[in-house]
Amino acid sequence: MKESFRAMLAEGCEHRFSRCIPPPLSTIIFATTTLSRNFDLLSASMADNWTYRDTVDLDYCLDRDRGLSPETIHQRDRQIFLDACQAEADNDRQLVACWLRHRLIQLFPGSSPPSPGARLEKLWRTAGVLLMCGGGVAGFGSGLAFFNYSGTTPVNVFHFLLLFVLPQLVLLVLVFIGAAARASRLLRTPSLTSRLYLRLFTFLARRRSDADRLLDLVRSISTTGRLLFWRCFILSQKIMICINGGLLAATLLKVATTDQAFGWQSTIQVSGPVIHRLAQLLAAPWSWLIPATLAHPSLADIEGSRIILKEGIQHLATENLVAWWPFLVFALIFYGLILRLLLLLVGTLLQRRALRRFHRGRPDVMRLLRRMQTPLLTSGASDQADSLQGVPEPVQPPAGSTHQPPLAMTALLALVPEDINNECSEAVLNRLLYPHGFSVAARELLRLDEPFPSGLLQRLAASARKHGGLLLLTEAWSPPINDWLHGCGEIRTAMGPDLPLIVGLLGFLRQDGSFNRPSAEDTSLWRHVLAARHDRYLEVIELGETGPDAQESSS
Amino acid sequence: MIPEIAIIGHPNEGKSSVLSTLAEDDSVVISPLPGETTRCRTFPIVIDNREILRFTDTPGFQNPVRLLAELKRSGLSGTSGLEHLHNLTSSRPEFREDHELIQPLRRGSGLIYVVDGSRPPRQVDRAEMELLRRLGRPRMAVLNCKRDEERFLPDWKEQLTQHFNSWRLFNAHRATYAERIDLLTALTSIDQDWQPVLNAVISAFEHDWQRRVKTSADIICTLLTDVLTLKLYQDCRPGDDEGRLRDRLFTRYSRSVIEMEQTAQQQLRPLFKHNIFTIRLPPHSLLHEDLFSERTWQLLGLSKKQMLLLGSLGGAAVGAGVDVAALGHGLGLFTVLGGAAGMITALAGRRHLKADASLLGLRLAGSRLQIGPAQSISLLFVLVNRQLLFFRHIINWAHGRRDYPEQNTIDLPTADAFTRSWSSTDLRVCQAFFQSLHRSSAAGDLVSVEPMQGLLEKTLMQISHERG
Repeated sequence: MKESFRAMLAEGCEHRFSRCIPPPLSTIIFATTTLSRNFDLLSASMADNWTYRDTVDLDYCLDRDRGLSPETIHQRDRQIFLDACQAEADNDRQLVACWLRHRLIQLFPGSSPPSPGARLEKLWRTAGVLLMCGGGVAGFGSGLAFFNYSGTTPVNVFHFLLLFVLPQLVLLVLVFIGAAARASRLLRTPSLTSRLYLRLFTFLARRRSDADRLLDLVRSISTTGRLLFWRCFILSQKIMICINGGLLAATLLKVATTDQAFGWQSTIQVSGPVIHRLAQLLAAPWSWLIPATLAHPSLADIEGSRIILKEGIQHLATENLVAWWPFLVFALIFYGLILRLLLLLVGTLLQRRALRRFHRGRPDVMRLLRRMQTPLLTSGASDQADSLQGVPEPVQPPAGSTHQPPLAMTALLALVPEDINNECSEAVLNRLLYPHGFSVAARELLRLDEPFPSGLLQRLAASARKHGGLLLLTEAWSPPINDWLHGCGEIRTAMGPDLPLIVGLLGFLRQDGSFNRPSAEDTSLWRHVLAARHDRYLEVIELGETGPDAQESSS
Repeated sequence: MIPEIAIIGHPNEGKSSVLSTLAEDDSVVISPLPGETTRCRTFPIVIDNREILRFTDTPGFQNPVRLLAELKRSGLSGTSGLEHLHNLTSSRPEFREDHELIQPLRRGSGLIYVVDGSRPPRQVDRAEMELLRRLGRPRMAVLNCKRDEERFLPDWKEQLTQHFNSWRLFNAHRATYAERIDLLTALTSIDQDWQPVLNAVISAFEHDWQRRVKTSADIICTLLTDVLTLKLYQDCRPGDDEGRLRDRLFTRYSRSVIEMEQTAQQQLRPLFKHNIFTIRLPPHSLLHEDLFSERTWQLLGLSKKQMLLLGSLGGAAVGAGVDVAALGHGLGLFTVLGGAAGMITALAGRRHLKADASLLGLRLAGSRLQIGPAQSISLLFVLVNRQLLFFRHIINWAHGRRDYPEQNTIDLPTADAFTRSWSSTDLRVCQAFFQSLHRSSAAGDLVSVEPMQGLLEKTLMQISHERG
């Protein structure tokens, strides 16, 4: 079975290994999940609710098509559309879902191993269950350890709050600050949580010497990290809920089964009313719900539970020493449990929203939709001679060319370097872009001998948003230097992460002013460099015409 | 301070190839991916254990536009501009390559700016040129055409003239020895102070080249001596098939000669520092032909005119001997008759090798067959021409050629035999050398070897100064 899985991966990964599940991951999956062949190929209601697993499978299926001829995949996808999706899909999302369902059936028929998405999902779930169990045990264990009262020194309330409540609140504040900074694009690095989980994946694969490839996989399948962020966020909340649950259980257990005394102490001469005011403030979230005697200790309780070491605790009243426990339990419930439950809810809703939007505007998905919705047009004489007898003959594929006139062209804002402005009129660009399903909505000149003025970037971004995306033209024989990449990054930042950015590679300029197609080496270099940006909405297309001169330029 | 010249330019313009060819070093690392060279590499020119000049290969520009913008913003130029850029780039990883490439300039180096003249100049190139101009170091530009495309050269020349002290066309994949010297000479124009050093370098290069030429002539002369005096035997018992034995002996002889030739070529190759990469002979080179093929002998042997001339010279020499013996009573008639007879013999002697292996001295002597020493002087000319062809090929196999597409390699003229242009005096030297080998049947005597070596050196030097 392991071998067959490896074979499947080898077959699936022949084009771009980094974009599909590498064999070491398969081993991890096998090691951490129970094997089950009875898996559903697609989540139950995928057409409406995409799951993380579906996104992985979609990426996997689209990556498998890289390197195949456009005619072949056009024929295949059109056939899927005509056979299965035409009737049942009402919108693009359902169309893509239908396509994916059929592709998975083709790629992973009944007896074959599960799809990469299913495997990654299982790995994720297993890791999640383990981490949540670990969290519960850790919370329960730390609670038991904390409430180890031997009758000499009461449990210090400050210690409880400092250990179990305050860090959670501080972490939450940091998460919100980080999210706000990322939303305002002041901070561009991935969140600490995401990085921690990526490290976890890397750690799992470290002994397989493919950590980088695995990391690349996780990054690429998560559509520029947004989905991964919510996935990690939700798992974090679940783990924290388990920790808080364990802690709460330990607290209640100790309170119920042992004689616990709670007190407070401080070298600073803090008065009882100050602590009372602080307790009132902290109890604000629940004090409106329950009687004040339970919501927080009274001033008398607070003053009666102050521990002064040289005086011992014998003089303190028992009712004062036990008055704190409901306050601590409510602090755990409200600052730990309920807050996390709320965050879990928010995270789930936002993940669902991100999943609903995850393929919107993606260039590869747009191409897929175009392939499905574009009729196959063939012309030319049939090789088969006409049958005079009227006897039906087997259908032969007709000789001749297959044309792909796209039904709906995506109009782009074209950024044309000033150097090639004369050669790149709108008509020329439209002709070059036509086979790729794009057209030029507007043109902007680009000077490459000075940094972009910020006004220009804002204008470009606004214009690109108005159209279907932005086309950045470049001559492929000129290597991608940092200056260019920096400019590209600035454009992406100004445009936002979800707008298609198409890099159009041109070959050498011919004598007649037309462009050759870029050489395979140049294209490969550009693709290699741009792939490192992990931008799912960035696509590289080759423009230019093939011909005798093209041979010269390609070598 | 040792003068330094940095090779600077956009990534993938052929900087390393220019340096490789200029420094005759095929070990210069050329990365398959442009922009992957991130460190400078220095190539010192050492004369008598003293470094007098160094070339520095640099990474390609990665951020010329931003650097130029920063320089303009600061209003600085020259040394202070360099320091400003140094400080700016030192702590930012995305400027790593730019930081590295300005280091030689900070040390006071001059620069050779390399551009690919087979593509059009672009705005980013203008930014680079402007940046270098503002930095104010002594500089010249080199147009290195990576493809056979010349229509952009006028545009480049116009641009380069605005920003550089001088520029030269120097194709790293086909530059000859003479063009290398020309480029070095041109470097003297960018900074007067370097003139003495560069003159010393050029002089050292020339002396070194002469040494290599002399050694090459020596190797070729030794090969000629070995081949032309080669003798092989084959016992011939009664009843043996003489024809088969003759064929076998001829095969042994030709194999030995080919081995000797290959040994000589292996000695020639390292003289020109082709250490790492295999030299590829042009596909139609005569060197691919069998040494004893009819085609080789037709194209590289003696011309008809030379054959007649050599024949008459030989006959005349015999006739002159008779005249001398007759104490001049023949009034030179024997010399004339001898010359005429020699010409007739030479005409009759234009036989084909395979048809008559006696040209190589194949004969039955007693109970054994003998081949060699070669009876035909044509073998000398065939061998000389093949070695000269090989010499021309290796000296013109630019060290930076290996990273260029194969179809861009020049195909050297193949049909012309170098010896066809030799004068009668030169032919006389050859004949004397050939005859001296025959007389001693071992090594030729010094009196005839020295002129032969001189003749070869002269021809090798002429080949060296050919331009591609």
